[in-house]
Amino acid sequence: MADDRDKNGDQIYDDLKKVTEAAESKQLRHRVDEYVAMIIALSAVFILWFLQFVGLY
Amino acid sequence: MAQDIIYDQAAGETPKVRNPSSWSALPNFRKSWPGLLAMATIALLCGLPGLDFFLTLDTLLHYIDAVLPPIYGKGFFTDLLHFNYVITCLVVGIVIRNVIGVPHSWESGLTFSGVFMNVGIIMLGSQYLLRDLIKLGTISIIIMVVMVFGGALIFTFMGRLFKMGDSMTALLAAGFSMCGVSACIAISPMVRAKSEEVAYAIAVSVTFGLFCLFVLPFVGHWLAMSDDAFGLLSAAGVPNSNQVIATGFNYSFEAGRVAGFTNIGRLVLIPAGVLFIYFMTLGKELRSSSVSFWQVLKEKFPVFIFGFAIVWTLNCLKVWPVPASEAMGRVMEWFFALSFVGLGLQTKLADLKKAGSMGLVIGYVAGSLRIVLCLVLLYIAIKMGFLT
Repeated sequence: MADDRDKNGDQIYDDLKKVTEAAESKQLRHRVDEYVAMIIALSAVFILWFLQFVGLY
Repeated sequence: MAQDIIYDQAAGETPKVRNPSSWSALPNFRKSWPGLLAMATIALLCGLPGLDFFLTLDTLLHYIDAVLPPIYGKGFFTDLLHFNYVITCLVVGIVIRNVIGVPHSWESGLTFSGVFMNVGIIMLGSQYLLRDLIKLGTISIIIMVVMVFGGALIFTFMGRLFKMGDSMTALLAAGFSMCGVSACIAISPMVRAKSEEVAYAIAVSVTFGLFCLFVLPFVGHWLAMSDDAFGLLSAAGVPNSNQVIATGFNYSFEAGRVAGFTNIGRLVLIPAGVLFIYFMTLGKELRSSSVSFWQVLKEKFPVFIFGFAIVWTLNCLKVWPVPASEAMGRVMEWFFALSFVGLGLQTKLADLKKAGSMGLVIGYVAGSLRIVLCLVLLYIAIKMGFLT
């Protein structure tokens, strides 16, 4: 009975650890995605402004 | 997290432990290019706005509408089904994923659809002026605050009514009241959710968002909603950010513009919303003492909003003339189109089964209640003269 309870506790702990790790890695990716998006968007805005500035369109 | 061990020769081969850079979270380009190329090709073949490319699905649908006899004087695809680049990109993506199948080599590149969505949102700043903030700022903030916190209350009530369990209630409340998948993942460790509960909550919020994306524009047309009102409805009622933008642009360009702008308000509210749901759903004995406001703010605040603020400020200062602003708007739509294709290609209809009937019923009932609450708020705002 006590063994079953320990086993169940271990399983819950492992699952919680798995969820925390998955959340951490996804949040890190999410954060990096935000930085990449900022770089791409600000570059695109600058390029479009520059092309207009030099009279390309 | 794995750590890299590097050897510094000058220090006599002494091993040093270095944490890997955050950038290592991105998949490398060699793995990603097939998916990126697939997204770009499919978007191009669906028909990108402003590009007069002859061989597109959009051209084909317009041709069919011109050839077929009109129904009630309207074209079947373009007028009755409101097919546009948003729906075309999404439907083609969903069909490829669920009927033909997506090669494994595409998967890595498809994860960049979130990046393209963020790029589009940042570039959306070039479509706003100070008068837009004055016109929509107050009402959108009021509606967003009521919807985020009111939505969380609706889900907490439903969760207690159906005895769903604290963690599941918190996941659904976060997923529906804020930005769907990201909010579910953000709150999952705080409420000690099980992995199957996270998958379940994500599946319910994604399928509800998909349902909204196709159904809400018809509701909007039926109620003869203005672009501003519909944009607010999509931002407040649809769970996921990318689905918010897609629903808005599915209605009209102007509604998409308003939806994107208003959604910024919801994104800013994520840290406060996460904490609110945490304290509302978890009993005192289950709360962790390590959860603090500043920690949650630091971890969950969406930093790309600063990019939007930069572009918007430059546009307000008239740094670039109108033609450049129009070109930015066009490129913004292309990035959105790429992300809609990616969204479609990542939508697995089998997730409907994963969500299960009970989860779907609770999610859809509570999600629909939120939309009704939003419609009531919009009606009051129109009656009070804040909106048209």
